[in-house]
Amino acid sequence: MTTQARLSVLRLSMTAVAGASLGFGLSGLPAVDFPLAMLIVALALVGEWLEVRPGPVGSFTLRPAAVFVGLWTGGPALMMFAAVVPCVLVRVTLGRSTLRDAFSIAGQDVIGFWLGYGAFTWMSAHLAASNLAIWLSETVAQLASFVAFWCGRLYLQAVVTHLEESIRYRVIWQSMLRSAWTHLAIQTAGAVFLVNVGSSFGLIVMGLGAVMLVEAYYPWKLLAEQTGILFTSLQMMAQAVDLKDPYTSRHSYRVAEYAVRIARTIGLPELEVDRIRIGALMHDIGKIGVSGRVIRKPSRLDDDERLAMMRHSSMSADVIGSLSVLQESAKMVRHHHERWDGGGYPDGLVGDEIPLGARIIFVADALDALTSDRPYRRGRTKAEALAIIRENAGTQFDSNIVEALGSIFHLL
Amino acid sequence: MPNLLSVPTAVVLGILYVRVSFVALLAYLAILPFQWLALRLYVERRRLYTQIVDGLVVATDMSRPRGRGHSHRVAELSVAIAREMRLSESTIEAIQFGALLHDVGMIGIDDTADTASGDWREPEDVGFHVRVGAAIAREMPRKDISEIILRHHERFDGSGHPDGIGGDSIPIGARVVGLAEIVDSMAVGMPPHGSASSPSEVLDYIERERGKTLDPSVADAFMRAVARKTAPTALEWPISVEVGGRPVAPGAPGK
Repeated sequence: MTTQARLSVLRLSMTAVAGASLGFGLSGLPAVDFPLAMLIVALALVGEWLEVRPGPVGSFTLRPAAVFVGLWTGGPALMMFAAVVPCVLVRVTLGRSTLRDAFSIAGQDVIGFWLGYGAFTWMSAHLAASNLAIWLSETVAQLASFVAFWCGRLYLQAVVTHLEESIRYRVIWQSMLRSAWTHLAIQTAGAVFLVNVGSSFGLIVMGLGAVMLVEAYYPWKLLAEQTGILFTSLQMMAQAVDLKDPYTSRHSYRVAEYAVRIARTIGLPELEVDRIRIGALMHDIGKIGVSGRVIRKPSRLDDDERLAMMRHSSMSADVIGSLSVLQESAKMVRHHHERWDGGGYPDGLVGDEIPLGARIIFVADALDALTSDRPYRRGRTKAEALAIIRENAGTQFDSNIVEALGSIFHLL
Repeated sequence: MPNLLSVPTAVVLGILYVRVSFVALLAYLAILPFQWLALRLYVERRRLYTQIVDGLVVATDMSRPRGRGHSHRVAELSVAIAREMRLSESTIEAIQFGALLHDVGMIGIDDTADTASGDWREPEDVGFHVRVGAAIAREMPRKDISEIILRHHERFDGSGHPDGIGGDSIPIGARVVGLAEIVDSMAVGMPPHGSASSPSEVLDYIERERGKTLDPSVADAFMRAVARKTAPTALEWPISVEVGGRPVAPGAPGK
C-alpha cells in the first residue's frame, strides 16, 4: 500500500471513530449535570484555542485536560462530547483546518481518550478491591488514564507524522518526548489538580482553577505564535530577494523543502533539520547586495559580474551571522557553494571540512536551479536533473547526499 | 489580559492556603520557571523578528537615492495620521507594517540607471514594485498589509497606478500611506521630486491636491497632525497651521 493510501485509510478511520464517539457523547449528554457540562465544554473550547508547539514535531492543546476532568466528574458521554465538538468548532472557526480534517484530528485524540477511559475504569475497579485510601486510589486511577491517553495519542501522532513527512520513527519519538515531556507533565498535573479542587471546594472554585490553568498556558501559546511569525518574516525576506529575478520566485522556499527532506532521510535530529531549513531559506539573501542587472542577466556573466555573484554566499552568511541565534545556519550558508573536491568558494574547503548542512543545501540548490525555467533555457525534468547531479557526485557534491536525494526522489 | 486572568489564580491560591496548607502554594511555584522560560523565548524571538523586518526595510531604503530612513518616517507619519482619524488599533497596526514595507518591492529595481530616464514613476516600474511588494508581504498572515502595499500609489481621483481605482475602493490604509509617502519624498527630495521641498511647499501641495488626488479626510487629518506636532517627518513645520481657514493649536491628539 502506498504511503498516500495508508494515510487516507488512517485518516478515514480516525474520522469514523470521531463521528461514532460524537454520537455516543450526544446520546449520553442530557444525563449530565448542566453547569458541569458547560464548564467542561467552555474549558475545552478555550483549551483548543491554546495551541502550543513545544518542539519541532507535534502540537498540543489544553483540551485533553478539560476532557479528562469531564470524564472524572461527569462520565464518558461528557468526555466524548468535549473531545470532539470543541476541537472541530475551534479549528474550523479559526481556519486551522477544514471540517473533514478537523474530524480526523479529533479522531486522533479520541482513540487515545477511549484508551484513557478504559484504563480509568480498569484501574478504579482494580484499586477499589485494595486497601489504599480513597483519595490515593482515585488519583492513581486518574494518572493512569491520562498516561494511557498520552501513549495512544503520541503513538498515533508519530504514525501520522511519519507518513506525512517521511521522518524516521526514532527521530520523531526522540524529538517529541524530549521537548514535550514537561508540557505533558504539567497538563496532567493540572487536570488532577482541577478535579481535586472541584471535589473539595465545588464547581465555582473549579471554574476559577480552570482560569488559572489557562493563564499558565497562555505564554506558551504566545511563544508558538511568535515562532510562526518569525518564520514567516524569514520567508518574506527570502522571497524579497528571490523576486529580484522573476524567474526565481519562491526558489529559497523550494530549496528549503528539498534540503529538509534530504536531512530527514539521513536521520538528522530535528533541531539540526530546523537549522538547515533556515540556512536553506536564507542562502541567497546576500543577493540583496548584488545589482539586479547582474542577477537577471540572461547571458554569460563576465569576470567582474561573476565575482560579484560569488560574493553572495559570504554576504548572505554575514547578514544572518549578525543574528546570534542563527550562527549555525550562517556557517552552512557561507559554505553552500563549496565543492566536495575543494574547488568551490569562498574558502576552498574539501570533503568533510564542509559543514554537512552546507553540502545538503548545495545539492538542494542545484536541484531547483536545474529544474527551473530560465530566459535562455527551459527547466529540466526532475529525472534529468537527478542524472546530472549523480554525474557530479564525488566531485562537486557529496556522494552520500546525492544517494539520499535519490532515495526520496519520488516524494518531491 | 494577564491582569484579569491573575485574579482567579490569586483566589484559588488563597483558598488553598487557608483551607489546605502552605504546601499547596509551593506546588504552584514549581510551574513558574517554565513560564519564565516561555516568556524569555518569546521576547528573544520577537526581537529577532523585529531585526529581520528592520533589515529588510533598511536594505529597501538603501536601494533608493536619499532613501535612508524613509520607510520608518513614512510609517511614523502614517500612524500619526491614522490616530488622528481614530481608526481601529488593528487597522493602525496594518498601516504601520504596510508603511514600513511599502517600498520593499523596490529591491528588484535597484539602480536608477536601469530605467532610461531614472524616473521610477514610469507606469511599468510603479506597477512592478507594488506588485512585487504585495507578493512579498503576502507571506504574512494578514491580507490587509499586502493590500496597502499594492494600492499605495493609487490616487483618489483614479489617476494612480497600477489599476487607476479611485475614491473609497482604495483601502483606507493605502490612502493614508500614499499621502505620507508623498510628504516624505517631497520633504527629502527623492525622485521624481527634483529637490527637497520646504514645509510651506509641501503644505501648499497638500492643499492643492486635497479632494483631487488626495482624500480630503486624510489630508485634513494630516494637517491636524502637523498642527498638533504629532507628525514626525524630516521637516520643521511652522508654529501654527491653518486647517480649513482656522488655526489649530498644538497639543497631543485625542485617542
